[in-house]
Amino acid sequence: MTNRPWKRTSAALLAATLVVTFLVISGPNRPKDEAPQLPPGDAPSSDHVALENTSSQTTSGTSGTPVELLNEAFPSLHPAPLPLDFSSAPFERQQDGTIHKRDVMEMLQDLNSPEWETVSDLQLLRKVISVYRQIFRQNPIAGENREVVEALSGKNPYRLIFITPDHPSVDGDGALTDRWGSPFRFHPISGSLMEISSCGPDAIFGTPDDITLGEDDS
Amino acid sequence: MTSRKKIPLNRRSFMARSACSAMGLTGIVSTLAHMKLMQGALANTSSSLNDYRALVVLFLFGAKDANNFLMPGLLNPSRANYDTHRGVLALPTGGTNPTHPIVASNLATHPSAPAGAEYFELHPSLPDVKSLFDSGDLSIAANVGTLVVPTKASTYDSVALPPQLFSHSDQQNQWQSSLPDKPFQSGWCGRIADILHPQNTDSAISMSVSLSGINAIQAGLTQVSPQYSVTNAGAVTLGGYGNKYSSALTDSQDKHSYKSNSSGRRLKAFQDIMDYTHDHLFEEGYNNVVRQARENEGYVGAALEEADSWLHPTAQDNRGRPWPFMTATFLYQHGIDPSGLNNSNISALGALPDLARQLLKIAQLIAGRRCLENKRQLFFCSYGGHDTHQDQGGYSGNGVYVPGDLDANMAVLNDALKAFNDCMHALETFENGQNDAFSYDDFILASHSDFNRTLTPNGNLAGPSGSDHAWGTHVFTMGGNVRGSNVYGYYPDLDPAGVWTTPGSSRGRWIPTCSVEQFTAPLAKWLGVGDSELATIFPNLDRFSSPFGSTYNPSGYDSMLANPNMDFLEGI
Repeated sequence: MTNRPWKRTSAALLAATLVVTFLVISGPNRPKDEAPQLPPGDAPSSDHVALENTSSQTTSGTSGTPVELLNEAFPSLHPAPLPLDFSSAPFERQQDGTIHKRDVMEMLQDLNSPEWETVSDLQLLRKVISVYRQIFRQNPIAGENREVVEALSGKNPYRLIFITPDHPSVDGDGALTDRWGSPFRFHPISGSLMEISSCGPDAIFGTPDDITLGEDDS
Repeated sequence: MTSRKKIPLNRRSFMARSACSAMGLTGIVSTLAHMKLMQGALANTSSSLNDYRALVVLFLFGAKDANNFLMPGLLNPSRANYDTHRGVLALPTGGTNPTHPIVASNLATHPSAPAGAEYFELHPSLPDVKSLFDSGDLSIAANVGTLVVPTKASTYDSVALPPQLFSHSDQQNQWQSSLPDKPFQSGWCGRIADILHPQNTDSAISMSVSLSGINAIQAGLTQVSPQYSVTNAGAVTLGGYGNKYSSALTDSQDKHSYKSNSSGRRLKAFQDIMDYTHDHLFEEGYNNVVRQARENEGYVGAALEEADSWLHPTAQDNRGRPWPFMTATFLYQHGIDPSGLNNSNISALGALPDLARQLLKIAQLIAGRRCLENKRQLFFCSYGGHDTHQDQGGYSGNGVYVPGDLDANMAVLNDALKAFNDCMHALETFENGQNDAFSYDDFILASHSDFNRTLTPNGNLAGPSGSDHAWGTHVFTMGGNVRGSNVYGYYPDLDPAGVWTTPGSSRGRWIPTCSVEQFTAPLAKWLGVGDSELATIFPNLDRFSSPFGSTYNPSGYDSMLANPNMDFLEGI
């Protein structure tokens, strides 16, 4: 019988690869997606922590008996944010742990400026959403205007603030309003596509003076 | 300094290392998944399918307003919240545009059901859907949606939620994959086809047929049953040769009956080229695709011809020729007089809405199923335009109803469902006594939609107002094995500030009490998927309470999550 050491070597390599892969897939210490590189001393926001803390979730299985979900961290639920260096401009660290994105905040000072037209406001908001998406690799998860504002004002993995709740265009309900005081409509088509609309001077959506700006990946 | 031992790299060691490298993490995960599927498929091949079953999935794209599809009746405990919070979109039970009352039999008799919980109303444009519900052909599953894990208001901020919860595209994909916590790879119907298609031993075409183009739900992990698209006019044919090759062929079913005209000569030349074999793999692959497409055309054409050979007893066209039974049934249901049309003109069916034409084609393919020789068939169709942010339809301040897009959409849905269901009943009667006769129990139609819409309107004017993106929605199933006249799942209390809604919102966005897989797993099992394969098709199902044999217990959110009340099918 011919001795074929390469066969044993190949088989051993394949077996080792399979074992390692199995451990990686099923083990409790499954590596997560690349973690955001927070600056020293910064903790992830509560949103981010919430994603990581699902390990103790208890549910009932198909057998009808309670089962303890394994150490599932759902690593593919949300894309990892862009690694950033928050130590220099345009970032500005605040004492409460939030980080101001100063350039965007300054841009938003011009929102609803009397010198602009509504379409410029929509273009500005499109730009802001685009910056958010570049950092967090997805649009704000929002079904309502208020939730977009929350995401832009720190309810995000970096606690990054693009707009503060005391911005003159944020109303008492926490919604971003157009120049006539009506909330903009943020319409999530996909994770990277958000339509933004103003209902125009008549303050009623569904009428001819509505203005809508589609936002695309580009 | 550490010295490194140089390992000589010969051909064998190079190949061994390359193979291991090629099988990187992603490759192995994928391979394992495929192997698992194949194991399931192989395990199944020992049992053969003798009966016929067809599942039709109807996706209502854009997010149907389920809050006005199924409303609480006057005696239902949720009615007060509906009247208070629905605003201009609220639909009264009486007046000039009345809703249609239905009574859920399962809740009427259940000792745990709150008083009045069985009373519901259907949208004013759904009179025939009410009849289908009342006759036991249709049931509704309340508050179904995408979930990563069981979720309630108190855990909303601490558990993993479906990504991009309120975005159309993401939620459509997650409904179709039933795997919201994973990047899209396959649809739940595609995974069913991966496992069941090998049992379609004499199959002529794929068991996954789409009337709505390439879709996510029928995308499989393997290519054993790639989705096959059929238009609402029939199989996709080569362009430039007329309807059913009438410009080029004397007989559409004989692909060599070329006419002696330029179209005939052109088609013959094309066919000759396609019949050549090629040395180049790409050329041969391209030819195979075209050859297979032409063969599929033939099978689908034969199935449709078989269906059309079943003639309506009274309906005639404008030249006195009898109409095919199913086509005439759809025309009558839509208020179209068949005697005013020419049934040899394909444009005669243009007056039917697209959804009706899709369901007509599915009904015909079911009637002609013997030509396709699939024991299991998965059909996909869709109906868009439900994103009613405005012009939804509602009552103005002076009590005048302003019709909107939802009224039109529901009317289309109503007529298409009724005509399709009538055809299924009639087919059972028509084939009675034949070998392999069709039974009304042989099909199920199940609806999907992106999500529900907000209970509260986004305006206070009946004309332009509408509703926005929400979450848990109400879906329906229709067919002989559906336990009809029932409402499954749990109907929300419709309190926008209550325990059913997402915290922080005052719009009324119901957190689903039933996940997509709890709704769809019974459908898979009905098709013949074994218990051991369910976990392959629905890997997240174990996170939720079993839908099979599940009971009704509305005493609290936890009890509802533990008892999903999704036992809506017989014979599984």
